[in-house]
Amino acid sequence: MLEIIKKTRNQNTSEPRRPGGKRYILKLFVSGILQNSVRAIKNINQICEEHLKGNYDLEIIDIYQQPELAIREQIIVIPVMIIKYPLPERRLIGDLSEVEKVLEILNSK
Amino acid sequence: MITDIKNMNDLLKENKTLIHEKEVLAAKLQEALGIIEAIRKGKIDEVLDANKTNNSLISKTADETYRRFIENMSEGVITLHTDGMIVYSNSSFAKMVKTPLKKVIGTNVRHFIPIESIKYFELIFNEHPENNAPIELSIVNSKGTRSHFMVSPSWLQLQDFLALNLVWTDVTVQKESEEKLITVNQSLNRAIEELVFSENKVVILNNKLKENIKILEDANIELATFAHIASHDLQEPLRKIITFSSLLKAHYNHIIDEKGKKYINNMQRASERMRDLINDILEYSQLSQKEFLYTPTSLHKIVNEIISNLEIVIKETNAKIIIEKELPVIEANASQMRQLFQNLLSNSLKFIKADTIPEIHITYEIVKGNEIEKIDESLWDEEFYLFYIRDNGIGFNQEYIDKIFTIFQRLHNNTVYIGTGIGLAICKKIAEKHNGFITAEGILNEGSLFTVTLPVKQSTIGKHKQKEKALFEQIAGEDYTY
Repeated sequence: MLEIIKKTRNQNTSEPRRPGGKRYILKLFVSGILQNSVRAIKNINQICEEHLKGNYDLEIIDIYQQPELAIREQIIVIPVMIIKYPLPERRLIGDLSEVEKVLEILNSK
Repeated sequence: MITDIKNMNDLLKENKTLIHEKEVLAAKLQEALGIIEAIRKGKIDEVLDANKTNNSLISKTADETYRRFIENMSEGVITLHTDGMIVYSNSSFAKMVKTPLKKVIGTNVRHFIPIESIKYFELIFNEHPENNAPIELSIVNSKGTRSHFMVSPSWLQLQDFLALNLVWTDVTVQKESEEKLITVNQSLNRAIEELVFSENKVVILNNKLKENIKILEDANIELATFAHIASHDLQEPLRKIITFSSLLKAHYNHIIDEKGKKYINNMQRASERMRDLINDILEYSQLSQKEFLYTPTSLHKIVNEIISNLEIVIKETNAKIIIEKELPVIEANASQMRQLFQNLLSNSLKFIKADTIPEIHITYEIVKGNEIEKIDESLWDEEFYLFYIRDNGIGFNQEYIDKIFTIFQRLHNNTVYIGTGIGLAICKKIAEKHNGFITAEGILNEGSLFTVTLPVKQSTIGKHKQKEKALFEQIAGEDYTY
């Protein structure tokens, strides 16, 4: 049973935090299963698992389901990923397919 | 000078602010350029109307109706990417897995499926896209609780990939009641099996009981017949022994010396005792066989007759027999009642103390069945006579109570107290034949008390017995085969 619970742990919170690593808090705003939204979901998951494993907290928000979150963040276009942490806050627009660029922004101070 | 420095500071501050504003503007410009580039490259799905006064943030697109519809469904709806990642989930599904919606999207659906269900889930994935047959799947939520669902799959070709839509209908309640039903059914089956088993046992026991009863009845008849025949056949040679010993004594008295005469006397005494024994056995065996009718019988008359019959013994022993109140007329067999009281009185007259004038008190009372120990509950409302025969004789030790009513059981040897050891056994049998019983209490060297309990009305007791018998026969005769 324990094994199952462990296995069903949400992938977004990933594994136990790696000590010493940079911490990332990411929010991705999508719109249903529109092409770029789905791509963004796929891409950010892949990037996180490959490069930030154990050091990120990812939330994916469908603006149709939680529009209040989108209003609070003054979202203009979809999909958009907000890097909440580390500061300063930055936004990445599009399907996040340019992995190098995404990583560069994630790693810049 | 001071103002200059102040101005300098202000200018520096202003400069910093300007630099910061420039950075912010640059960032915004970057963002705006990013947006433009993204739009140009077609990487934007929607542009939002950020007019906060308008509560609906989203431009009214054609699929909004469907989105709302799906969002409001009580069924869980998810869309999976080709590898199983959830790219869309409605709120119902998030509730089903007890996980915040924003953590559901982006997670692989396999993380919510328990190990034992995974292979069924993979079946959907490997199925031909045309197959939309719903299957049963379990989900483990974040609290570790399992729920059961009917899952309807449908495949959808999107621009980039083949998406799998899954609609989850909670069947936990049905599933649980189904399982409960199965459990109840199983225990019912077990109960039935046990019932059948114990009924078979009852049948077997019943048959055994019937067999035993038959054996017992046969043995009883055999025994009675044997006793009857034996006593009859024994009487003949015994008579001869008595006759010839009398002849021996009469005709050869003059040539037999004193020792020889003593031998003959011993022989005669032994023969007479033998005769008594045979007669008693005969009587006892006849009691077992005889069926008889109950007629109104005056016990007072019978007991008085017995007393006059026993006159010689009474005179010899100086005994006083006191009938405390006039005895009733009861439903009984007169000759058996005579035998019963004769045996009891003889018994009391026999076991007397040498230095005491024997006194025998006879009395009775009528009581309800519920006042009598060891009587069946069905007879609690019936009335019973309790006849008491109390003496001041040698009594007996209460520990021998079981022995005194048993045939041939004697507490004393024949040299002091003569007797066959059958008398009280006959009394017991007679009482039982009259649907009653006999009990005795004794204190050594103080005396004995015999209590004969007989029903006032034989007819109602008879009915009870008949009912019991009928019930027994009904039970014994029932067919238990399935």
